[in-house]
Amino acid sequence: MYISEVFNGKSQKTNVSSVDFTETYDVIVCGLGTAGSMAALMSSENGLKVLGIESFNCVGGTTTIGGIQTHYFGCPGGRYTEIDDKVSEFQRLYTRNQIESRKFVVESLIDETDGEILYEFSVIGVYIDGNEVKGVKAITPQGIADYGCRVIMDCTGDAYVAHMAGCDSHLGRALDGLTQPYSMVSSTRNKMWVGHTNRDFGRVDQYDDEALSKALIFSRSYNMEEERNSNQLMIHMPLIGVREGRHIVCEETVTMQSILDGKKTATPMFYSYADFDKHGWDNTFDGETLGDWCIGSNLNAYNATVPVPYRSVIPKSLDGLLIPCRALDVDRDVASCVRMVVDMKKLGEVGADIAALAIKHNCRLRDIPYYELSEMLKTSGCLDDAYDRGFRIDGTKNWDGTPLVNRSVKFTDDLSAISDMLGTLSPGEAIWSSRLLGEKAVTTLKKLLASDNENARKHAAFALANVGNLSGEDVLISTVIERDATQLQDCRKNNQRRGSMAVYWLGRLKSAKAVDALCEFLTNPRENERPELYEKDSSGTWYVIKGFNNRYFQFMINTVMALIRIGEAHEEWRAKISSAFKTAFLDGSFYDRITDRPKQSSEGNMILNMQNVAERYCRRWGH
Amino acid sequence: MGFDVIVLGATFLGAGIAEALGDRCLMIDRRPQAGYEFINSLKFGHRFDKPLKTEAARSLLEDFKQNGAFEGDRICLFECAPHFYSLLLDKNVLLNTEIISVEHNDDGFTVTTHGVSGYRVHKAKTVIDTRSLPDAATEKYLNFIVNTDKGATLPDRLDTEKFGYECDTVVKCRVNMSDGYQTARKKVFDIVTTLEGFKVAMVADEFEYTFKNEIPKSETGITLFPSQSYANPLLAYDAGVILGGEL
Ligand SMILES: Cc1cc2nc3c(=O)[nH]c(=O)nc-3n(C[C@H](O)[C@H](O)[C@H](O)COP(=O)(O)OP(=O)(O)OC[C@H]3O[C@@H](n4cnc5c(N)ncnc54)[C@H](O)[C@@H]3O)c2cc1C
Repeated sequence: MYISEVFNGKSQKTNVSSVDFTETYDVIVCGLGTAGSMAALMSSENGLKVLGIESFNCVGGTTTIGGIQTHYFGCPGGRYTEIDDKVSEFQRLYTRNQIESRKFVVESLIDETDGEILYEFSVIGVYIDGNEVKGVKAITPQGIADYGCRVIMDCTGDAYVAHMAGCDSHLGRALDGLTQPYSMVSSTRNKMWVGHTNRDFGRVDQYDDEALSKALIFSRSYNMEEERNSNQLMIHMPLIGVREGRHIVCEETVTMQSILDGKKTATPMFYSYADFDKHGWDNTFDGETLGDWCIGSNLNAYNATVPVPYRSVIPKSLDGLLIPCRALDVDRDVASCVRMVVDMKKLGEVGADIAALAIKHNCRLRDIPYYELSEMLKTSGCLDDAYDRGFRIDGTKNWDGTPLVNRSVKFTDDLSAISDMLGTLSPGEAIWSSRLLGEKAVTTLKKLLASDNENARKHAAFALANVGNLSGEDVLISTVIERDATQLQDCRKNNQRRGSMAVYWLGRLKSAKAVDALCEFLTNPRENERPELYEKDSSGTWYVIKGFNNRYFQFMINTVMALIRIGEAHEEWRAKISSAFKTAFLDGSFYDRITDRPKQSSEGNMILNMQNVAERYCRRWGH
Repeated sequence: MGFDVIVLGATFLGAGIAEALGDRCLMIDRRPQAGYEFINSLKFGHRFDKPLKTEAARSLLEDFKQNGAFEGDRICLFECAPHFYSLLLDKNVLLNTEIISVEHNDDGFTVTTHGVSGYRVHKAKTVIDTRSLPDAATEKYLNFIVNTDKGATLPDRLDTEKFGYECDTVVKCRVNMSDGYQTARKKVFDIVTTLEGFKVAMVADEFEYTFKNEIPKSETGITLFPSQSYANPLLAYDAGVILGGEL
């Protein structure tokens, strides 16, 4: 047997001859947050002997001490609904919001089912024998204690336990390793009403003690004046609002590409349902798959159904460990859709059922009979094939405030329908349909390049680029030179401007011909003085941030990304591109042109990171 | 890296010590918050008229005043929290970090911690514990805020305090010294379910303690100064600045 612990960020193993466990359980749930509180309660209801260990002093995690009470989309159904009903009923009678009622109701239910809870305990080590976890080491108010078990559920949100145990993981985006910006959530008061407001701050490395502490302090030194609309500030929530962390490599994974390709797991545990909920304004750095969908095709607020395989919570390397929390094995693009509160509550149920089945059959977690699991999940409503609904548009209001028509989205192979759609200001579905058709769409799209209809011409160029065809290159370049600020209308929020989309596609096409136009844009210090382009917002469709010229920033960051893609493909252009980067970012003036917000703000952070990335490529190219 | 002083507890008193010592001091807390012993325990304090001895504490008092901490006889520190956090921006602070052990040896103290990057070891000449030490306490409370939009009144049997928002009252729920948060919350809701016309706006996420007159001496050489033993956070901060200046 050995103990696996983390020293200065690295997992290390130390042999131990034997361990005298204070007590042994069927299941130890580490972290009683959104998923963990459900996992503990439902394991207990499943008849297992359960211990829940929680660092803070209540259950609920992000849904209580993180201040997030509402479900963002998601599919209903499952055992959590009955619990949520009890929480709501208690709230109706006794509390102003769900936070206090959830803490009390859920911990009382765990208690009633004989589950044991240890608050203010943190897991700091994992005991492993061969390939099987055997228990945990915890720091408690009284000192160190060891607890044995058959199954550990790592519900810490960030997979701290799996990391301690040495499991492989993936984290952040390929370009710069960053994750989404974090938020500080605060409760605010207006007479009787107690609400919550979030504000996105910069990025934080949540695995670095000092960086995390600085972020906790910096974000709370803000009084949220802008966000709270003259409501009184009550309290900054204890938990920092980190949305994204490591994902543990498990028996099965889900990628955004597989969802866009319509590939499905044969063994789903439930269906997730939301848009790819990116945060931050530098999504062009998020990679090609997300970029093609959100920026290049303007489909960013389209919802996707993600069938989530049960094996995405079973780590590859160890037995007896489950990851039923945000850190399950999905790529980071899909994670932005599969991390929602409702999904996490369902994960708690699935974790409890997998553990119960492994104990019942005395088998490894990966060997449980799926048909039994799916029966359990179907009976509770957690897994309901009626919700396997592909892509949809859902919501209440459209970008212009008119009622949003909710509908399912079917990409088409009808070329005349595609042509018609490209002629409108909502060409997104046609741009994506063209990609799915590939070569078959090219002739029709090329014809549209000569069309009198400006929309058709420009959107056909986007669609051609989306199938990797360069024929629309000149149209794209002239769209950039014009600084076409037309805002498209596919989405209920955050619709793209045509000029930035053209920049994006020129980068994806690695268009050397576009270098001059792109460099001219980037280095012109008076670029932001074009009022028709960058000043007033014509619609409420983009979330407006005071003192941040997001339109200009979108053009700029898309240009940086495009030039990087072009430079990577064409060595001969690297000197010119590097020189443009140096001119553009020579002094701090570019920063002031974009924002007057502080450098540690989310926006400031993104602007400085854009500069860092550009400089990194100059160095990499030897300039 | 060695520090002159390691402060256990990101408290008002600890912040005062850090203010006086600057880079020579490291503050460590298992909680992700600072100043919680007053703000999050809903112990907003009394005796604010007591003179403050240091300029730093007087300046914090001014900040508090400007942020509406004192409306007549009602006190509320919520809006003051950002100002308190801004005092920590340039200090050495580790939040969310468990204190695994504190060992006293010939050349001072070795403090082993466990945070998001795992185990770390810190050295210091002196260790001061400013956390609320249950052993030194006489009473323990889990406070909560209730409000009414129905013009209801609270029964006299409850131990209550006026509070910044007019419609709100802080109710002090006395619990046993051995009660954990789960038991204490149950006692809170045992009270709440009997109240007519009131709802809970917030339950404290830190206990309030009252302390013995004499804080016992630690046997391990650690200096014990529970921040919560002061009547209000400004007095705790003031004491911290003075203590830091003497080190
Ligand atoms: C700012 C923000 C806004 C969001 N808004 C929405 C929204 O509006 N709607 C929506 O559906 N989703 C939203 N989400 C997403 C969703 O809330 C989270 O993804 C989800 O709640 C995470 O659940 P979890 O169980 O994985 O982790 P958490 O709920 O964070 O729980 C993790 C728990 O583990 C504990 N823990 C950590 N380490 C240890 C340890 N070593 N030992 C013991 N305990 C430990 C923590 O204290 C915590 O209680 C938001 C997320 C954020 C951050």
